[in-house]
Parts: sequence; C-alpha cells; structure tokens
Amino acid sequence: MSSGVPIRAVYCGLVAAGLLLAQTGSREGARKLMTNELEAVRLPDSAFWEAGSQDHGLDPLVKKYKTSHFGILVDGPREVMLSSRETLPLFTYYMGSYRATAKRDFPRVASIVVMAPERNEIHVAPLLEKRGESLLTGETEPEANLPEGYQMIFQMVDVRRRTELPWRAGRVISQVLLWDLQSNRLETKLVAGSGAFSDPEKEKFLAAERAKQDPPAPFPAVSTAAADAPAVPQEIGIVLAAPRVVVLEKQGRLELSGAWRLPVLPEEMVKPAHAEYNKANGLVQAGGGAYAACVGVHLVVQSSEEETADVYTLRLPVAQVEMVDGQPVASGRFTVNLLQLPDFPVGEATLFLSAYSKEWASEPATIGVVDRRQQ
Amino acid sequence: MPDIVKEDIFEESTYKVTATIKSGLFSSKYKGKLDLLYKKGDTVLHTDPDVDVNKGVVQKDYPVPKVPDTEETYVLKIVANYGKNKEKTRVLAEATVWPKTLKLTVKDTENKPLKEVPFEVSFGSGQPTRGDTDDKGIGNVDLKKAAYELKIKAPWEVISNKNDAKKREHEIVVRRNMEAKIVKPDLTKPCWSPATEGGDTAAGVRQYVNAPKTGENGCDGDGSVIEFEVACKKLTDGLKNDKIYIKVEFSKLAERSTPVPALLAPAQGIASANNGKTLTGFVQLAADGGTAKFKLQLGYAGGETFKVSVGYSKDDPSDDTQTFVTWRKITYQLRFPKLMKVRMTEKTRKDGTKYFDLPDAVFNVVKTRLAAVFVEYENIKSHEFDPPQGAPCLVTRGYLEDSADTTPVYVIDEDLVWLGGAPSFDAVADKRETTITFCDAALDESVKTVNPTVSLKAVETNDVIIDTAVSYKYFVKRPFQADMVNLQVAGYEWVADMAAVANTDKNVKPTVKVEFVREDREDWDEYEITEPNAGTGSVVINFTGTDGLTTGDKAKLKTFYEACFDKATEIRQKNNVLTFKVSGPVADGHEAQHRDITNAFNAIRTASAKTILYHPGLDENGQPRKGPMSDVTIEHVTSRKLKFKLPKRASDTEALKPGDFVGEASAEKCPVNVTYSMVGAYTYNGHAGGGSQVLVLRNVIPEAIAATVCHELGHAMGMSVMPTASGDTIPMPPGVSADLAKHVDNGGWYYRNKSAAPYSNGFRALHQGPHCSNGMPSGKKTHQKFESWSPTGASPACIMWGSGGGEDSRTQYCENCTKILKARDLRNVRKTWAGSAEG
Repeated sequence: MSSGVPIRAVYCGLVAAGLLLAQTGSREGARKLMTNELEAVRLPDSAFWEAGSQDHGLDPLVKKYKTSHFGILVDGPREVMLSSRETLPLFTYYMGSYRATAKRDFPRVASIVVMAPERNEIHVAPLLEKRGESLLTGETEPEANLPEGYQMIFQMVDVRRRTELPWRAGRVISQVLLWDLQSNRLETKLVAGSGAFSDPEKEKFLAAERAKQDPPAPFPAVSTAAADAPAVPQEIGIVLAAPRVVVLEKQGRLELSGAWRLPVLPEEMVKPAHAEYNKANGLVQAGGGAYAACVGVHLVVQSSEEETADVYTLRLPVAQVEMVDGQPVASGRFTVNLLQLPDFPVGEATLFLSAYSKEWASEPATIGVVDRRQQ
Repeated sequence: MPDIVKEDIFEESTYKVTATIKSGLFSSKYKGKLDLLYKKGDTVLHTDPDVDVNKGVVQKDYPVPKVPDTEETYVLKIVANYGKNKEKTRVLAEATVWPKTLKLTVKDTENKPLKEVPFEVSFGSGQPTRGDTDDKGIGNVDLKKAAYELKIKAPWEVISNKNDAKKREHEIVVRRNMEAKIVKPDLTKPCWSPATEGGDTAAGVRQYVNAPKTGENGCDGDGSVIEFEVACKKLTDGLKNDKIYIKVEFSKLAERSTPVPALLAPAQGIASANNGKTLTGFVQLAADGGTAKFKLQLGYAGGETFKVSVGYSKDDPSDDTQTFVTWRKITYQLRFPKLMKVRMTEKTRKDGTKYFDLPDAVFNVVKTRLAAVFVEYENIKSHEFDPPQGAPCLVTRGYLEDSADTTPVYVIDEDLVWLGGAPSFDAVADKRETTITFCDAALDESVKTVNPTVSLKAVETNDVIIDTAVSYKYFVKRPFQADMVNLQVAGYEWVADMAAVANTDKNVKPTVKVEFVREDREDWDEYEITEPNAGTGSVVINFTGTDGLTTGDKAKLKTFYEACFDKATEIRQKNNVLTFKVSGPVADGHEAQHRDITNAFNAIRTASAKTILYHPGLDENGQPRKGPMSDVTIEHVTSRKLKFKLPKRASDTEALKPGDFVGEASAEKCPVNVTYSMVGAYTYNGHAGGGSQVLVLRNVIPEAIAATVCHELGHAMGMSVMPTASGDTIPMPPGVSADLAKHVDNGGWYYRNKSAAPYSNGFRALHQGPHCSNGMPSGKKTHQKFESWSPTGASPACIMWGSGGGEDSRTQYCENCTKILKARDLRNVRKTWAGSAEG
C-alpha cells in the first residue's frame, strides 16, 4: 500500500461568483490548460432559455480555446426568477483530444453536483438521463480508429429536473464531475421574483426553527483520525487524502482521511439542553460532555465501474467551535474506512472522491483499488 | 227375510226410506210403532222414534250427512227396532254414501296458485271429467258415485298431491316439465373465440371485459356485462311468467374487488352463496312464447371463469349452459414504411382484407406471453407508406450500423419529427387502443452536440470517426429538426496546424540572390547595394585600394542584411527570397569584385541566426493559413464516419489552398485542422406513453423483440406499480393486496429510476420509469444499480425489467406482475397511470 498523498485544498470565497477550482494534476502533455484557467463565454442569462442558444456558447468557446484545452466548463444563468422560469439550464462543455475524451465517456459518466449552501444540501445526479430500453453503452471507439484532433462536446441539462432541485429561493452552486475532472463551479441565485410576496417575519421564523433542530448523529461512528491524515487547513476549506493504490485483502480497510475548517450552521450546533437526544444519538463525548457541533460533509464517490455517483454525508462531531468574524467555525480531521459505508461501490475499480460542505469543496482524491478479497 | 236394499247415494241427498215390515210367523203386516235408527257403523247418526207403521209400511225421508273430510265414503244403515217392546231389529236398508264434489288447488313450487292448469278426473270406464284451474288455481269437479282418479295434464308435472286432511281437496304442486335455453349470446357466431387458444368454444369463450359498449351481438356486449336472453327450449311452450332459473358459478381467482361479479336486474331473487362464487336468480318470460333477459357483471379482471346455467328447475337449473373466461383485448394501429414489409407477416382479416403485421415469429411469442395475463393484442389497422427519397428517416442499414449493407432502413426520433410522410393514425375513440410506429432505430431526445477539430494529413481522408462514444449516431439531418442539415460548418474555418510543424521547419533562412546592375558611378570601384523589397535605404562599398571587401564593408553588408528581417512580411511576399541589387561597374575586370560581394552575402547568410517564419501553411503575414470550412468537401459516409476532401488551388497564381500543403508536418507540409458541429443521438428499443408506442424491429431473435413489445404494453397497462419520485402513485387494482406492490427496499421487486440520490424507497439509479427486478438475485437489491446485474437467457427476469438486449432474457411477467395485470382494469390503456384513481 502506498502512502497517502494529500491533495491541496481549494478555498473559495463565500459568495464569489464563478467559484473555480485549482488544477487537479497533470493531464495530457504539452497542450493542456486546466479548468480553472478556462472561462465560459458568459452568455447573458436570457440566452440559456433560447432555442439554439448552445451555439452561442459553443462556437465562441471553440474559437477561443481551439484545440489547446482539456477539461469541463459549465455555464448558466446567474439569476433565475422562480416565478417566471421552470428550469435551471446548465450548459456543459467537455473539451479535449479524441484520445483523452474517449477515456472519459462524457456525458454518460459525468455527474452534476449542486450544493444549496445555506442549508448544506447536496443534490447529485447523472448528467445524462438514461432511457430504460436504450442501447447506450460505455463502449468507445478503439484508439486506433480515433482521428487526430480535438473535440468539444456540448450537453444542455435542466439542473432542476435532473437533480430534483427544490424550487425555492436561495443560492445554488453547480458543478460537473467526470471522475478526476471537475468543472468550474457556477453560482446561481434563485430569487422569488419581484412580483412575489416575501414575508420576512415568516423567513425569520423558519430560520429560527431550523436553528433549533438537533444535528443528526455522528456518521460514521466517531474514530480517531489516522496519524497521516492531513493537517487542519489554516483557511476555510476541506482537504482529502488517500493512498493512490490500495490492495484490498480480506478483512482489509479502504481508508480516506481528511481535514477541514468550516463554518457551522445553527442546525449543526449541538444543543446541550437536549441531553437525552444527545446521549441517544452519540453526541456526547467520552468524558461526558456534549460535543459542540456536528458538521455535515458530503462525500461524492464516483467509480470507474459505475455510471452514477454515490453520496455519503459524513457527520463530524467537534468538541469546540470558535467565533471568526462573528461566525462560528469548527475544524477537525477524520479517517473513514470506506468499506463500512453502506453499499459502498467497492471492487476492482478506481474511485474518485470529492467532499462538499456549504460553499466549499475539496479536490478529488483518487484511489485505485486492487481487489484480492476473493483470492 | 227380504234382501237388504243396497245402493249408492250422494252425501247431502235425501234418502227416502220405504220398507214393509212384517211380523210373526205369518208374516202379517206389522202394525205398531218402531224406531228408525240411521247408523254409520255402530254410531247412530239419527233416530226417528215411534214411527207409526200403517199396514206394515214405513216411509221416512232422511237427509244424508256429508262424507267426513277424512273419509272417502261411508256406509249408512237404516235399522228398525220394532215389536211390542221394540225388541225386534231389522236392517231396512244399506247405502254407500259418496261425496258429491272434488276440489283441487294447483300451485307452483313457490306455493303460488297456478291458473289454467288442465286436469282430468276419471271414474273407471266412461268419459272422464276434464277441466282447468281457475284464476286461484282451483278446480271443482262433480263426482260420480264411484271411485275416481285425478290427473294433471301436460306440460305440468305433479311434484306433490296431498289430500291427507281432506280427501276430496287435493293440494297439488306442479312444475312445468320443460327445458330452458340461452338464446343470446349466440356462441356459435364466429365473433366468439375459444377461451383457450385452439380450444372448443363449448368449453368456454372469451369475454373481453375491458370492451366498451359496442353491442356487437353480444360478442363484446357491454364489456364486463353480458346480457343474456333466455326462453323455453321449445319456444311455443313457454308461457308468460314462466320462471327460468339462473345459476352462475364463478372461479373468483383474482383479488379484484370492484365491480363485484353479480347477477343484475331484471333478474329476480338474486342470491349469492359460496363466498360469492355461486350466484342464483330467475327471470320470467315476458309473454307466451317469449323470452326474458338478464345481465351478468363479470368484473374487469382477466382469467376468471363464469359458468352460466339456466333451467326451469329452481334446484337444478341446468337445461342450458355457457362458459365464459374473462379476457382483455387491447388493440393497435400499426404504422410502418413499406420497406419494412419484407420482415413482417401478411395476414388476413375476417372480412378477407390483407394487412401486414408484426412478424409471426414475434407475434406468436407475444400472444403466448400476454395469454398468461389474459390479454389479447390485436391489430385493427395497418398503415403503410413510402418515405420520400431524401427524407432524414431513410438511410441504409450500412449507414446506420457502419457497414456496407445497402438495405434501406427507417429511423425516427423520439418526438416523431422524422416521420417521413407517415400517415396519421385513425382517430382513436376506443381507449383500449394503442398506436405503434415501427422503425429500425429510434433516437433518444437527450442529444449531444459535438464540435470536433480534426487534424487531416492528406487531401482525402476517409473514415473519420465523429464521436468517440460508439452509442451515438449522427445523421445527415439534425435529429428532432424537420429539415436541418446536421453537419454545420458556417462560421468555422480550416486552419493550417502550424503548431504541429517543428520550429526548424518553419523558421527558415531566406534564399539570397545577388543581381548586378550597371550604373556609372564617379568611383570606378564603388557599388551601391539595395534590397528593393525588404531593405531600408542602401549600403555603399568601395574596392578602391583593396584586393577585396574590407572588414568594415562586410560589417556594413551584415547590418544591411539583418535589417531586412524587420520586414518579414515583405520577404514572405517574395517567397522568402532576399534579392540584393548591386549597382556599379559591370565591365570586364570586375568579376572578382562581383564574386567577393556574392560570397560575402552567402557567408553572412550562413553565419546569421536570423530566420523568417516561413512555410506553405503560413500566409504572408506569418499566420497559419485558414479559410472557410465551406471550402472543404465533406461526405457523410455513415452515421459514425465522415470523409474529408481538401481543395487545391487551380493555378500557381492563386493563393495556396489546404490541399496544396496538407501532410505530415515538415518544411513543406503540415496538417490541416477542420472544424464542424453535429448533433448526435443514441438509439433505444422503444417507448410507450399516452397510448403511443415506438417499437424498433431489431435484428435480433424474435423472443427479444417480443419481450420489448410485452414490456412496452406492460407500461401501457400501468406497470410497474412504483410511485413516482414526486409521490404520485400507480394505482393498485382495488382489493389486491398491497403486499404485491412492494419495492426493492421493503421486500419486493419493484423499482423506479430517480435522477438524483438518495436511492432509497425503491428508487435506483438505472433505467427509465417504473420497473420490476424479479428474477434478479435478491442480494443485489440494495445496490443503487443492482451491481450492474442484467438478465440473461439462462437467468431471466420479469418482462418488466427495465432494459432488454438481444437474447430472450425477459421470458414472462413475474408472479406479482401477473397477479396485478390479471386484476387490472384495462378499459383505458391511454391514460397516465401515475396519479390515476382507477386501478
């Protein structure tokens, strides 16, 4: 088993438009620019609902990046009036050489990840809606048949339909994952609309009600982080680390470590007054005192052998919460035996794991699994 | 002693007693008094005391009492007691007393009086007495003084004849000794099909309980309601109000609870027994020689058997019997291009017209698999058409499958934009009807756009793959557009790929030419040098006093040479040639000077690092050559491949075209990048929704196609019963156990795709729509994609499994789906089942 290689965390501004991720490693030789160096053409918001509007984005992008880029771009409206629109279009562009794109069957394998940061909700769905009786397979042309050159693939998706996104006011951040490739992140404000009535007192009440909620129980069970787990980042963000290749033997472990520093939502705060709930749900420390908070971190798992991503929400308890600029912030480290997660897609495959919480996301951690459990 | 008078008398008659009484040995006439005793056996009924006898004769009238109800007759004796002390006794007369009348009351088996029942009373020899009962069922007969025999005439049959209490009052129960028959439905008509394929209609016929009201001689009747008409077997024997009894024996196999199978009015005396499996009642003939009608509700479930018996006997109405098995008929209109007929089967309708249908090899499998759920699938109309040449839907199989096969095939898109002149289906009034469009391939509406840039290295390049993903196909016309060329090049350019050319092949030193021009100058050994194209000014050199060029002159020439490179564009315009014009003496004797100048420029060129960005792939400005993609000839060879041909210039005076310099990167050649845009779609086997189906007649075994036909029809029949993600439920047939509707997360087999996690409550990340995984190893249920399991011929799944391949891997509806389908109300297969209240 090789040693764990920490992957650099990416920190994004809380409300910065176009949250972009740093490069994710070497891609394909000399002709490469990473996704974070690319920018969509930023069509006007109304263009995303116009017939043929993909051409307005595709053509300029092709001209702009020609044959020199590899990666995924997403573009979409920055603001959507809930009262006047019924869809949340997302234009997705995947570009690269024939040989590179043939290895990642976009859009069959890609997934959309949508975060609603204000509630720390995640919505994940396959990019392509698959037909029951379809003949769609993952088969690609043999490399020898591929022409020399590059291609840009465009796919328009309705994020609302694909991810079953609740159609309510708030911010959402969309991103496309294709194994170890991550697109830029697109923030969209879903707004009620000028004609819609907004009741601030009701909103205040609902927010207060959410704040009173108890956090879910820690998941998976509380354990000590491995010694080689990454250090807690100095800035807000999430870091993942995993051995690049794991030989899975009987009784083996498949460990993922991480470290994080994240704002804490009111509903993530442990309520000391709810002693009975806290005790019943593992929110009490070994010493007897209640944890200060239990922070949700969503783990999106893609497998090279699966077309659909899995999502596991880790509930990470912390003993203390500090106030930074008037906001509660907590930090911690963790190590998870992935084999203990329910229905974890384990087998002879390469796994790509990304972590999300509120506005923040990690870079993907990649684990090549050599499965020798049956031998 | 005189003989005793013996005679027969009627009751209630007056019996005149006349007797001569003698006394003593001399037989003198008795004079005196006597007592007359009227005796019935030992019982004295009456006494006439002290009757005076004159001259030995006594006469007396006696009203004869009635014969007691309990006796047939009785014997009346008249006895005289006479003598001085009335010590003597003599029987004067003896008479048999007979009843005068007979009363009969005739009733039916329900104790109701029957009028006009003919009867006959005979008294031994002689003419019998005949009569009919009156309106109260009563008949009265005057009897004779003799024994009688009472008979009820045909067609009545005496069930019982009681006269125990009153011997001459007969309580007679009769029944009509006749048989009933079922007049309608007439199961001999050809519209009735045997309940079992190839069976005998006598053993049972199919009743299509989902049929609307067509009134077609009872063949369809009222769908789930059959109207029966019954009569006396010999019609004229039937009398008004004759009762014909009904008995229905119902299999009650399905769990469906509504509508409850039942006898309907105007049947009377309706009763249900044996947990609803036996229904009884009766009807009455409307007129003499007439008929009576009743209705039977069979319910909507399939596979139920109803044995209907009728008869005159209440207890055993079995004069005539018909057996019905409930089926559901779903019909389809079929639409296909004529080019597909070679793979279809020609059939003949009942009226003799010919039509093309599903291939028999497929249809027979479909028929068998649907029979298990008592569904019959029937073609009611086939629409043939010829797509016009050039229609986007018309391609060759080779084009579709990337081969040399030139067989024409028909491709349509999911939105049915590419119909190629297909006629509209006939208006659908019957909600049992579906429409099917046959095709060789169907394109999914989830299209993707590709915008490739291909690097070409030859003037002609064949077999250029459009998309790396094999599943996607690209057609000449853009899918889901009526008539739009798919391959778009407007706005795109071919571009010389100079990035592929090595720097040493494109950064080259110019060719140097030196031309000497006579010019008379003041100094005989002086020359002025210019480069008219790229040079700036001139440089003057002088050989006076020297044997050759001085170091200073060489430096001046080098400076002048290198300054020319500031005008690279001008140099390229002269094909990368620097032409130095040397003006001065040209007379004999100056050859050595000329040679020195020429050698000096060659040496300078060799020593200088200065180069010009110059290549046939570059234009005068040093930019990669490019031009509109409309210059490039593109042939759409197959749905996966293109052929490119780059143009060449027509003459040397024209600018270079890409065909002039395309090739492997070198100093003379370079690849040419071409860019275009196309929209691809992938194909699927078929879909169903809203009563419309698209079916791909795949080139696979018939069983696999049949499975798709049954699968899509299964959706039309409301399968499977997994709720939608938004909570709309697929209704279960009323009365059917909810246990049958369990999904993969609560012990059952049903599942439905969901676009986003979490995959729980029966939702999974595969297939499209509600499906059934029965047949899959149960250990795979929990995985969001069932561990990528798929059925095979050796390990098949339910027909409602969500995808089909090329083998027979979905052989039948599973047990649960079968139960639900048998219980389904299939009167409407065009509705949206999700959220529907009717199951």
